[in-house]
Amino acid sequence: MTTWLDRLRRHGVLALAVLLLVAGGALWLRAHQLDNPPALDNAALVDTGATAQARTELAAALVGVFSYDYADPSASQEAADTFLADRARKEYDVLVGALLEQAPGQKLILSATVQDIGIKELRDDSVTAVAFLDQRSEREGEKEATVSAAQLDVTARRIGGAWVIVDFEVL
Amino acid sequence: MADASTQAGDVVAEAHGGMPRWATWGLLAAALVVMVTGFLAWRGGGNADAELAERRDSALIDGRRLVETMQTMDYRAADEHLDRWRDATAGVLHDQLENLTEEDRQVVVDGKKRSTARVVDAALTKIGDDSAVMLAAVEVTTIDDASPEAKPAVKRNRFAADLVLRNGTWKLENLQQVAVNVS
Repeated sequence: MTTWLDRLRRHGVLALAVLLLVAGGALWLRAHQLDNPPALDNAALVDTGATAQARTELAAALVGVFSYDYADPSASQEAADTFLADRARKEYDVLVGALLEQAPGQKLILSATVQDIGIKELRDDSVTAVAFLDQRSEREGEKEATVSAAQLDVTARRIGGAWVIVDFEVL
Repeated sequence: MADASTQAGDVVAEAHGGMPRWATWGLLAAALVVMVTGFLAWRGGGNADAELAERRDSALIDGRRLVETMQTMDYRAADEHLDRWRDATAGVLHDQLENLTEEDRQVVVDGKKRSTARVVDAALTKIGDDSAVMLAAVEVTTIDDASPEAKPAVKRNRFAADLVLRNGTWKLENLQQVAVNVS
């Protein structure tokens, strides 16, 4: 009789221990989820330093790549070599190729400015951004420069510590 | 040999009820610790970064919807659309929409235009405790019923939107087209 009661009590204690373990584990899990929501995988605007750096680097890359001076075409080429890779490089070559083929020797000057740039997603080695770009173009023989506005979706990857644009889409 | 070990096992099991007494109580104590620390971790769960990241995502999702609302109009249901505009806004922009006159409304109706907007892409440039700034590339399709033969006009615009958090809901405080900077 004593053994039976004793066992019951012992089982009760065991059951209680298991119950507490399960409940405690669930609370720990929930706490972990609260501390690390999926949204935190994206560091955009949360890591302010890295976000600012990505904005600066991407803006500089876009300005370099989308500016062109007939007097010094190598500068754009260098910018493209430095800041573009993969699909972005191919698209750029097609765009610039078409542009220069259209009007050779027209003394074209393109000056790009980035009006604003917002980082959508920032991870350790990849970033996506929306950029508002203005491009002013001057041609010899034209009295006034034309300014066009563009919206770009930009994807970059961190290659050798710097952000390199691997894809862009004109929206 | 097999008999001996079985016997020995039975003896131990009987004497200690399958588990030594100290182990049972030890397990209970450990479980209690897990429970209490788990509770404390849960209560203190969440942090500033986690909240910021979630606020950022909600601002972007709601901001896109708000911009689409503000660029969408149908002269055949002007009141309904103006109500949506009022509901989407806060601050001065909201006040302006609250104070629209009958003539303002009539201008919309007489304009005979229907427009629908789609945010093609958007990103935040700023996020605070209760405010955010969003960039949006927007495609607006306008149908002009005043000239039925005209095709729908599709325009691509870019906007900067100021968002504010009011009672847990994002509202639009300002919506400006980002013009080209002719310098």
